[in-house]
Amino acid sequence: MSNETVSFFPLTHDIETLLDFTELLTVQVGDIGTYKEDSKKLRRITDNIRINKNYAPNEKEIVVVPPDADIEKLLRYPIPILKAHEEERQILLSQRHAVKLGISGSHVKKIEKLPESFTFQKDYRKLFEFPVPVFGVLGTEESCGKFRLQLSLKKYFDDHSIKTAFVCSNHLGALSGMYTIPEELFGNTYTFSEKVSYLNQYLSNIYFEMKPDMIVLGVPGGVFSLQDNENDYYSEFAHVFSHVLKFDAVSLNLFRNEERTDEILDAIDSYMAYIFTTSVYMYGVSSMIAKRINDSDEYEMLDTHSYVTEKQPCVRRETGSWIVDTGDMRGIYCVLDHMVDEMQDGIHSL
Amino acid sequence: MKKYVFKPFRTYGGCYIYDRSLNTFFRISKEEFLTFQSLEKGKLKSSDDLTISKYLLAGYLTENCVKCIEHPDKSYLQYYVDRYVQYMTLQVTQNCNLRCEYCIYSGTYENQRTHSPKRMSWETAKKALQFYLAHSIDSKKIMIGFYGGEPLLEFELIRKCVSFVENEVQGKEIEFHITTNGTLLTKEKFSFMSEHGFHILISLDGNKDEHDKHRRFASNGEGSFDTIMQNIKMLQEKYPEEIKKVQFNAVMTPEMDLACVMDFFDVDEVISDHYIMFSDVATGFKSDTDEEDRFWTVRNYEYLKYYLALIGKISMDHVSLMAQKTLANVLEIRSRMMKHSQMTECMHHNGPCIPGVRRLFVTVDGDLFPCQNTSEIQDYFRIGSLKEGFLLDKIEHMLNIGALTKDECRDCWKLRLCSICAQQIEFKGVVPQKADKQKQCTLQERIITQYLHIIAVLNEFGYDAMN
Repeated sequence: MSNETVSFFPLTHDIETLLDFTELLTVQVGDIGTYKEDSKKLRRITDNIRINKNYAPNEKEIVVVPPDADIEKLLRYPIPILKAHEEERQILLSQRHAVKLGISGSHVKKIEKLPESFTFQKDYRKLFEFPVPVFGVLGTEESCGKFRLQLSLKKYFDDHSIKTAFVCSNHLGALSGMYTIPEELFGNTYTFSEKVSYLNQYLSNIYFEMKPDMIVLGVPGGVFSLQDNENDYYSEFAHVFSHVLKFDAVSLNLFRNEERTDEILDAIDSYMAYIFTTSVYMYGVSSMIAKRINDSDEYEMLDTHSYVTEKQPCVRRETGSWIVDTGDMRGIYCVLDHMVDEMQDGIHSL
Repeated sequence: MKKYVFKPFRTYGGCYIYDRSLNTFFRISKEEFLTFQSLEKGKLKSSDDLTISKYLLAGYLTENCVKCIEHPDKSYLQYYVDRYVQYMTLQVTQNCNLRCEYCIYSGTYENQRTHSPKRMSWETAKKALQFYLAHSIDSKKIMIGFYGGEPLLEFELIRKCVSFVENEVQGKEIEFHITTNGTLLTKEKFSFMSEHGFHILISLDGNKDEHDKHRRFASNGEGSFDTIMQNIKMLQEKYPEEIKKVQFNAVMTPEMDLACVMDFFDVDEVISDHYIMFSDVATGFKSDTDEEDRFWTVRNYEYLKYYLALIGKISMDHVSLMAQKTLANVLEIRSRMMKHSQMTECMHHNGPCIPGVRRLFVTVDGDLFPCQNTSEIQDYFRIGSLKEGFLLDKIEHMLNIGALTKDECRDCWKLRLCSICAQQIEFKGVVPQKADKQKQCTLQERIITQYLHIIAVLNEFGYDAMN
């Protein structure tokens, strides 16, 4: 998808994040429709972005329903999407949303960017070894700000003209030119080992298509389990990816309210080195917090962006790893400058 | 600062140590118990003793790492009050058509207002709703409660509020809640509330004799039981499905014939299929009875039956809902203790919710309070107004109430089980002082020790949570 105009319904947290990086978008943004109660939600106003309370998609716009849109809310107020569907306007949304909304047709497509031709060879089990550095973006849990970090990394690598293949953990990354992970891998169609083969073949396909100098890979879900519920997939993707390829370095996002004493970070370092055979290069302190819901064992993820910031945008630990405020581009740029220098000097394992 | 924080306690069946560092307890021998008691009293040094070394090696009794007493939500307070207000209750009127003796607005409680004819105007209600919608952007649901006095005295205002909210909210789930004395329920009002998904709670203290002891009409002093039951029967005929969702709340007072009340709720053909809650009368109610012993005998007997049911000696069917609900937190505490969660450098005891965020109570005049249980007379509890917004420093003080006793809390064995919020602290001055809070600390000691004993005894008799 490029140079087409999209409109979003509804406004979600991931869309807000995406709109902080409009320079990366490969599409034009038209209207943003949302529920009446959300009209004050957009905190960071971007030029030419309009919030439309009486949203109706323009006939030339592709309607995008973000993957993080709450399905219950959509079902309560599905009018804009159903209207677009009735008029056979192009709609991009996840399979899950399409099924719940009961919409299908040739005009209904997934939000994705895939390599031009890819077919999974189920019986082929040899794993391709990537001849370029691979940097992984992981998080302790789902919704801990990986998407923002991936967009920040893309901005850095684009600004520095480093040819990088991005595979984003969030399907909205497709609107910024990033490859995405096929939706079918999020279900139960494939076994664990099939997912490993699939992803290795998929990524090698991307490598040969693009011939990048580097690969940045966003790993969906989390590495640890804050709460045991089925949406978390019990860190499945993290473990799958640990077998798909060898990471040269990883970043690990933390919730801002997570404990991060040296003792804890040292323990995480050891665990990550054992699972991913590489150390954590960067701990990304997200603006997201995990808030316990009243006295239950469940958590809600909230974005406290701009309310609380770290005292310093980046700090290097004695072990060599960095702690970065992922809401502050200065910190990210500082760390990536070091990383690129170390790559060129060959000091770091990259 | 204490190096190790623990509490020895014993039951008839065994000796135990509560370990604050892991928020759990473990069984020890009698000899070890005596050693720990000596350690607790300072008669023995921890470094001199092999007993404590044994448990240190096993990973228990980690050194006290608590350096500060601070609520973990303090750093994000501005965010929460700006965007995460959960539930707003509107005081639509301060008037009521009943004069219940134990009501906190009856004039017999210190630091509480009394009934008055004041009512909330539509302008104030609308401002409150707009305020709430603007401050709940990141909340998943819209939750609005209507309170009084008797809120159904202001039904037209409630109707306007519902219409306004439903017009302003498209995607989020909306919940309306109302607590009513049930005397003003008509078909029209009930039909409206059902149509808009209201959660209705009716106050009913048991059978006629029990209910009419306290809950009487202001106009003539007559009991309100017959009126309420007449209304409920009428609604059952007209709205047999919708009425099933209505819940009842019984306030327990010491002069109540508790056995009779529980029996009423079990067998009455009108009420027995409904969900019943039991709550204790407000602290400070001065009961004029010599029947208090009977009340506690029945209540404690119900508690005993509950414990026997938990260890499988009798069926839970024989246990009153009153006991099951009142004691649910014992199991919740046990469940928390099984996690063996570690401590951090900054801790705060449980108890405080985020004032104005978890609940926001708006009075008829547009003043903001953390909930309807706080005093509307003491300015300490006023956390802002619709005009001036939230007063963050006051909210922070209430949230971080542990700071009053920070030196004590750092070394207190109860820190992780304690649950004191600012609303529970009685004080006379402008703000609560350390000594005021410490009165609650004494009460907590008794409650928590009791809980530990109960959990230990349940374990001794083979209580298995998975069963």
